[in-house]
Amino acid sequence: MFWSQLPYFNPYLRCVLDLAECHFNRTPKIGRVGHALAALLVLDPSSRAMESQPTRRSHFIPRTRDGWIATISFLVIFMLAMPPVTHTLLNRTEPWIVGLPFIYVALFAVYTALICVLVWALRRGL
Amino acid sequence: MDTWVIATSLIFLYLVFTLVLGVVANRRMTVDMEDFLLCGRRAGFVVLYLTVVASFHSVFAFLGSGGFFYTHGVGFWAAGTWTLLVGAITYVIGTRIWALGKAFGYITPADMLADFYESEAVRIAVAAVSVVFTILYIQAQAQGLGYIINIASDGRVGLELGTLILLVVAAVYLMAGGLRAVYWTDVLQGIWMYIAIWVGALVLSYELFGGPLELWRAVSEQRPDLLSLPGPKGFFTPGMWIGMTFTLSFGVIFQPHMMIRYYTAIDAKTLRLLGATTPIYLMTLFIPAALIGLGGAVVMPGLEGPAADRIFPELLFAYASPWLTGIILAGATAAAMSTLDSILHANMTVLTRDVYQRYINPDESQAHYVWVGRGIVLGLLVVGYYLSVLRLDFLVVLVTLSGAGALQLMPAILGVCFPGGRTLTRAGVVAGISTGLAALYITLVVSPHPLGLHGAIWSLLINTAVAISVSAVTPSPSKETIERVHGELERFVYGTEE
Repeated sequence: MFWSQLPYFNPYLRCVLDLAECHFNRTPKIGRVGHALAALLVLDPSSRAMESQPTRRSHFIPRTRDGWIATISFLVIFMLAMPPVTHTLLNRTEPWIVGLPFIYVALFAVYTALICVLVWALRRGL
Repeated sequence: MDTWVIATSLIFLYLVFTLVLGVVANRRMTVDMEDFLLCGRRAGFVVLYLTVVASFHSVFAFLGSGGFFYTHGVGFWAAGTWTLLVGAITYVIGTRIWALGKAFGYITPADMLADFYESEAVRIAVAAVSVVFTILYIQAQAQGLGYIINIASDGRVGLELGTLILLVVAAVYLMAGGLRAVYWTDVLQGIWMYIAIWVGALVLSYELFGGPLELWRAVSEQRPDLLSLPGPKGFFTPGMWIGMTFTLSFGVIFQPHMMIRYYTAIDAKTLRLLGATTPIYLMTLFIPAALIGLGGAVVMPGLEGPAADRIFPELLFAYASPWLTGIILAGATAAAMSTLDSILHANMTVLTRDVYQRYINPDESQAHYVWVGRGIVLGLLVVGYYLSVLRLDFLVVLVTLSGAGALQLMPAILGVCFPGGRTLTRAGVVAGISTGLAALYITLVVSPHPLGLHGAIWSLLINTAVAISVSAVTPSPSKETIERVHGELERFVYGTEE
């Protein structure tokens, strides 16, 4: 309750939230403080900067189950080839696997898994 | 027969063959800009696959990567991460770039960005970034070519002369056959370089250690410091790992010579298949590079700095047969030339289309622009040669700087290719690129890699923050343009308009 009412007590936070709301909703509603800020920046609040833009569902967010599976799988597996995993968990030679040091084989396995995700996405027609 | 005679002869034989390909491509060419610059947008899977991988893997992959394993150890296996990202970028972003190029007739990266952001300032900024940073790449490839021919001839052909000969050959077949000649030679070069590096690495590992597994064991016994992170010299810190991953994936893909390849695909299915499978070639090329670099560190220690890049040819000369050495060094020539010709072509395209046709002489015939393009190649040859004889440092540093420059286009490109949320504006894009480049200079040159994080990442973060902030208070592109471009993407990706 307290958190939801906080912006009404804090004009600076309200200003930020107004602008954020305008940004994410793509509506012309930017509030009094937003207009003041725009005026300070010598911008015309009626210009296209403040107008609504065409509304479109984000292409950053997958829209299908397969899309979610491919995206999450790729990101999670990719994180295994990134610090800190590489510099902690993978950073050792023991145990040797088929005559190769652990770090080399582990990273190769991660890369192979990533290729498999891409091929799976291709087969699913994503 | 002496090794240098065989090696040099094979390289020259290879050069003659590329010239023949250029002449044949010239006979197939129609006098048309789209044919000369984009191969008529008809590139199929095999040709596109080999030209993309051959252009991506330059002399840096062939010589520089061995040098990196030699100096910094197994940390360079991080290379796999950026090759995988290249596949994913092609799959997700490359197909969108292709769709927009086909729908609206884009030829250069600047065409797409200037159209969406409705700004000539954006066109100029993108064209400038494209040309300035890829000229550094020309320099790196040209220097690599000079090294190769100098080594192959055992010092009888000087670095400068070797660089000049190979630059001239690449320029001649490019001028003769346009992008078609580049693609055809890339097919040859892509196959040759892959076989060459694998055969060379396996022969050397059997010759020197009794096999690849014995090589790894020898490295663990004699140079265990090469088998852990961040490596003997502490290079592969987490920040450097992340920085190189993003710089050498997004940064290289957003260079014009790679983006233009997306426009040339015959269809989107070809590009998706390309995205899913190119990492196989790109990543596995670093397996033999590891054998060469790590094995070289055991049997031929003591090479420092740029000399480490010569480990592969040095090993060949010391331990391989003359014929094998010649064939492999011709493969190294192929690696360098396939990237060099692509960059020459991309710069020619940008300068012809975005500068000459746009601002200097807009109403000429197609044949006129084709000839102007050829003239620009000659100019680039002179600039590339001049820069390459200046002898700047380590190859990979040049490539990283090149990639970091093109990385500054990332926010603008994502803004076009991914609808949703408030779009960036022309002022935001130009401010972001300008600030990003200034930040790049500070974080790569003045005070390299602050807090251990790669300068390219710093500059990208600053670029993005500035682009979003400025875009929040400046006029966005018109509704019509956003609808046109993003509507096309909506139809392409999801098959329907919302």
